[in-house]
Amino acid sequence: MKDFRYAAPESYAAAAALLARHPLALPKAGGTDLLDLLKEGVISPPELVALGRVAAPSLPEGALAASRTLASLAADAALAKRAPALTQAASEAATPQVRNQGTLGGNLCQVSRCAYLRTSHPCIRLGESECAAARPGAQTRYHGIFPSGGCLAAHSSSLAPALFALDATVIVQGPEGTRTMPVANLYSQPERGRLGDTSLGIDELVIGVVVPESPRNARSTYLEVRERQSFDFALVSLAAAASFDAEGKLSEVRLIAGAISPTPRRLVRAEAALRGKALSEATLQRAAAVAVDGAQPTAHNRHKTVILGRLIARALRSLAPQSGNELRRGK
Amino acid sequence: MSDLRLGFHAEGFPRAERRVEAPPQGAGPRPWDLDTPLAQVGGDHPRLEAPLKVSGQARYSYDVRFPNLIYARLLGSPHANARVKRLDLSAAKAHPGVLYAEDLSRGGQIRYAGQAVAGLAATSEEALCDALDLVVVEYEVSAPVTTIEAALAEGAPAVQGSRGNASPPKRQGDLAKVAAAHATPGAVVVEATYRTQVQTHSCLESHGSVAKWEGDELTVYASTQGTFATQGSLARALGVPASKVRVITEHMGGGFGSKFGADLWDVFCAQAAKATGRPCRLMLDRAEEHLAGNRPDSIQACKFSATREGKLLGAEVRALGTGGVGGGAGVANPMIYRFQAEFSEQRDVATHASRARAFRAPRHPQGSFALEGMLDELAEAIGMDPLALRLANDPHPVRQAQWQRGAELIGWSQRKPSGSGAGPLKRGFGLAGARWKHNGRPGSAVLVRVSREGQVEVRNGAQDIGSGARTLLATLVAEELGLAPSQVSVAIGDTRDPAGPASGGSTTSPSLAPPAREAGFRAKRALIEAAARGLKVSPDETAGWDLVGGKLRGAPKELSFAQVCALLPTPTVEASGRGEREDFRLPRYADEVAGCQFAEVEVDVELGTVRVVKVVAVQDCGTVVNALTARSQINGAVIQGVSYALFEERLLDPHSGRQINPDLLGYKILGALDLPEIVAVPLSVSNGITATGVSSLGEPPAVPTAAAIGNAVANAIGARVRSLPITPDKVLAALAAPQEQKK
Repeated sequence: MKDFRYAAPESYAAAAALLARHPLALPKAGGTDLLDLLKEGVISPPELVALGRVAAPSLPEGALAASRTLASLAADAALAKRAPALTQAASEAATPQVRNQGTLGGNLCQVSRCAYLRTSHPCIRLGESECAAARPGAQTRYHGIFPSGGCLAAHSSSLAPALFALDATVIVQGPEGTRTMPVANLYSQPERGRLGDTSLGIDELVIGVVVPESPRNARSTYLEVRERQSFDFALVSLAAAASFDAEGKLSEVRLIAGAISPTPRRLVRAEAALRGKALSEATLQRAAAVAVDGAQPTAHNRHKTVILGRLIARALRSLAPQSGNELRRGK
Repeated sequence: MSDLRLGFHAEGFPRAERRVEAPPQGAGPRPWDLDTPLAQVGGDHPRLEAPLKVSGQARYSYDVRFPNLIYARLLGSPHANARVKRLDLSAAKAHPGVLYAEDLSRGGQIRYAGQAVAGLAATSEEALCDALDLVVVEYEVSAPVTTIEAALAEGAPAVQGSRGNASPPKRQGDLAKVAAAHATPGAVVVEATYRTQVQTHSCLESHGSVAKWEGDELTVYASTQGTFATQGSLARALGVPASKVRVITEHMGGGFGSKFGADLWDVFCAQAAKATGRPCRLMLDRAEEHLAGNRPDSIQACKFSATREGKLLGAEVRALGTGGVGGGAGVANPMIYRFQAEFSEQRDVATHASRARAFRAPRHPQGSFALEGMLDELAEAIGMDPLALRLANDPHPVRQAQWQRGAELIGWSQRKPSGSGAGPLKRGFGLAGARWKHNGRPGSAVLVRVSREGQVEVRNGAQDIGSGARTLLATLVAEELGLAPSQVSVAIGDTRDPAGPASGGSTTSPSLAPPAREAGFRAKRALIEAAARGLKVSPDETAGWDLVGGKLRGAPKELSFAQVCALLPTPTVEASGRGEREDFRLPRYADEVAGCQFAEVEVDVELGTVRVVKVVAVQDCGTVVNALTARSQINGAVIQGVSYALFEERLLDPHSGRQINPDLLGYKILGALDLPEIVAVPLSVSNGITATGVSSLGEPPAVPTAAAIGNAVANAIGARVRSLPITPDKVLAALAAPQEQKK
């Protein structure tokens, strides 16, 4: 790790101003990701702007502060009722220690766990023209099946697919004030030299998240498949939110997958294949098939295409009303 | 002297025994057998150092600090196949705080990524880190080969010059006899290829040492599994007499075969300390630790045959493995079972990867995975229960009983045909056998010192790799002196104390037990002699006297242990036990240590995920000295085995040759949530191999775990994954394979 300056401003506005003045500085929230990147020498920012001392910002009622730890989200019973996908995603992440330290904002803004990026191999995000993971025979068991901008990285946040599926918006602080945007717009396709997955300016910070209340959000879930149960990143993750009509047909459905592309991927074609349909085996198979339309798996990660389809079926079956009675009550 | 009664009497097992002639009685104690009443040996004794370890007070080499300490590191090549054209240390040397620098590029040929090219020492870790970036190295870079297939391909880059990438084959057995066995009328022949991955040792405490010179005498605090081996190899490398080098290892955080002596970094550390006149510390970081040893991978092409009645006929194995720039990539296949004829051909393939080293049961887990998989494939082909096939072909008398006991404990009778049950979660059961040699060795000595105040101290210079050496020594000496282990203090891990073994081949306990018992026995004789003098009884009349339960028994007056000690003619009395060659050549009950394991798994056939539900491990280790630490050894081996079966794999990029998972997040080791229920059953076998009968335990239970899991997965899903680790991608691919390839 190289020497760096350390600033601990007392407001988000001051933090954004510092980041604007020092373009190479990076913000630090829980630090569970950032400090690893520093220690491994992947990046060596000259300055960190720590957010641990910032005053609580004024946020709309019901908004989640970006400084909330994953552990506090996972344990939030009210949130579990209105947005189960979010609390499930928070409880699936990392380890108890990391969940106690890692924050909502930090989780959303984390850098991909691409093993090539993390070991300073040739990487578009690190400013080079080549992606080491795209070379023939590269070790890509954990990489995405929908590469973008020449980058094979898999998006690593577990909260992002959940919040995307819940139609959440993020509140962002910049030097000039705050702005809001849908989580869907928080991420943008990889660009050469841009380390992270978000479209935020270098002087912008996520300070809060608003999760709307809706029957569909209350009927949401998050599933992920990992090789290891203790501390592992997902092979494939899936957040789903759905509403069903009186006949048990899907009136609306939202499917967002993580770990298959550089940003959370909305499975638009699968959603279309499901909308207005009952959950028959044929419909689910059709959704699974179109979900991976256009996928470009490598020789090492073809299984992600299979797992994704099966997670879609599993998630939707778990969301389906159990009986006609429940359907009527739910209306 | 009467015969020895050897064998085993244990709850849940049939009684098995055999009388053998006792060896001629020397000066030492009579060997223990089934008739020996033992008060402490075989009980549950918490590790003597457990309070230190759980409270963080135990001082590992990693923790050793001195005033004026300097820090050293080696700089590794980022290229796997390269030549150093130029190396310039001047900028690094000029960096504030840098005190010592050395060009280590030698011939300049780089054969694996991370190979050291230079070493630096500085007054702080920060200065060291900055200075490493200032070392200028120009490389001429070539493409590496990182896999067996690539290394054997036409026109592959040469890893070791003109020698060729593949070693000459090592052949064993008679291929013609195997061919004849395969051709037995009615024989069922099965062919398949099994693969295992490269596993790194991942010692929790990385490799390295702290070196401190006083005049021409060097003291090294080393994380090593061989204090005396480190002393010798360091002295040779530094060109000083071994008598000037003292190695101390109070506690160590894992070795598993990767820490058998002074490495390049230890030598550099000692040289930097010498050159600067200051104590110096060099411990590897995690990425470097992954380079400091590994279990080689393997590709094992197997052709096995059996009669339709389940008699094993021929075993034919052609194996390739890569230990990177090191050798030793052979596999223990076949083993354990009695075949009519066997043949194996094994080659080491050189690749541009860091060197393999001994790793807990070298060659065995790899061989076991293929061997036991093949046995199950044969069982399936002839329609026989896999357990019945083992029982029909296993010649070991102890393992025969263990198979039965293990089957009861796992519930083998619940094993169902593959794919049974509704829903995506499928259960399966599998089994595999373990073997090891009785690996105790002569050459160790143990000192026991008893004071007039009643203190008992045991000393030996060997380290504790984790088996609980202190507690073992204390228990054996306590047994002889009629005390509890907690009443005995033990000093280990210092080459100033009597010689002890390096912890390799599961030798530590079996090598230390005989001299420890003998030292305790001699101390007891000295104490009884002192008591006789004090009680004014002729030494000739003490034959029936003994120290039992903290008291002197058999004497005209019953004295407490403390009262006996108070009669010592000198402030302390010392007794030593020596592990002589003849002490390790006693008659024996069976030639090898036996074990077996059973695994129960649950596989999600939609997602490909495997959960190990339960592992039953039944293991013979000769005399069980401490049942608690014996179970702990078995638990540790099973945990490492589950981890090997499902998660661990060194991933090298084929272009750069660098490891892309050099941490413990990407290099996946089993965590708490992945832990199965483990039923560890140490079986104490009175085997007569030494006066204590203590045998090897560290390695044998590390042999069969992955094989048992592989077989359980095949039983669960009706398709066989013939490659470790068994990850979801492989499970799904096996399930999707055409029906005829599945079995």
